[in-house]
Amino acid sequence: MGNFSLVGIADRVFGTNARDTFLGNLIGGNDVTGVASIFTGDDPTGSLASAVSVSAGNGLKNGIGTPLRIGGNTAPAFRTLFPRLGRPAQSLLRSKGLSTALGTVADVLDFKLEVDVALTVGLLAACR
Amino acid sequence: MPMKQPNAHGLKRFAVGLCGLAVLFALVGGLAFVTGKAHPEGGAAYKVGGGVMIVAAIAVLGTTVRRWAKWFFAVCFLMAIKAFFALVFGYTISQPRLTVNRALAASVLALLLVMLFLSYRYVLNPPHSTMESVGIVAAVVALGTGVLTEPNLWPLVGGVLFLGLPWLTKMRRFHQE
Repeated sequence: MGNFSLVGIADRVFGTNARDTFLGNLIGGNDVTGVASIFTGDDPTGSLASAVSVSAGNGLKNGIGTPLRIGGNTAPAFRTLFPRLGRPAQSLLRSKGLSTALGTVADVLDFKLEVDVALTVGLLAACR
Repeated sequence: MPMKQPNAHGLKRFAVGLCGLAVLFALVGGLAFVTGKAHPEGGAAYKVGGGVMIVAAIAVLGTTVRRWAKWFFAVCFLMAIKAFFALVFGYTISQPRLTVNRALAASVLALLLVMLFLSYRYVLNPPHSTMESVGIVAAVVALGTGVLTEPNLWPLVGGVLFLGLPWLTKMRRFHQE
């Protein structure tokens, strides 16, 4: 399974052993097959780690400027009940620097996911 | 039913990303040949080939540094998140799944956080001076070398120093004025 990741491809092309290193795994490990283990359940601890990590990554991206919500109508109710306080707090502040930074992170994350999905399709084809 | 238009931004990002990957593969492959991590029995031919690959990759990275400098921050950010969760859970998030040496993971995370801090300014403003460009290219080479020399972390420390040098110079000038 390790061959179907960016670092696995580098190992196959150059004959290195980078997929067994922590740094190599961070840079070029396959995140999609890591998440797939949530459903296949081949490794419960690893599955939990994958689930939390992916949720955290996507949550950061979607959290910029979004009001904190507890129920469906929290924001309007909050404004009506506490007019002096106004809009509820944002989960992540809307600032130019943070938005640009996390937008760039989202671009890189999307590209990495596209590559990992392609490699996972390759893995499925190889398993048939 | 209307046809869905292809996402031009997504296609461009994917094409540029693939080009970036090709350059990084050339860099890591060249480093592996030169350090003897790949084909150690190959002799001088592989080492010369590796040297050419490294020089070519560094040349491409150096000339296009203003375009990709902000991506370095993004890559460090994603690596830091994965390193943090690997440290917490004791396993790497990505496949192939590895059991983590927590001392190593903590050191890598600390160095990545420093890199993250030092490269944040390139998200808003691309590198202006030669020193800044050299610093960020050196940090990329350091990450590539770090993969090949693990558990030795000196390349990452070197990358942090190269990234920090322009920042220190700038701070010194600021205090002198």
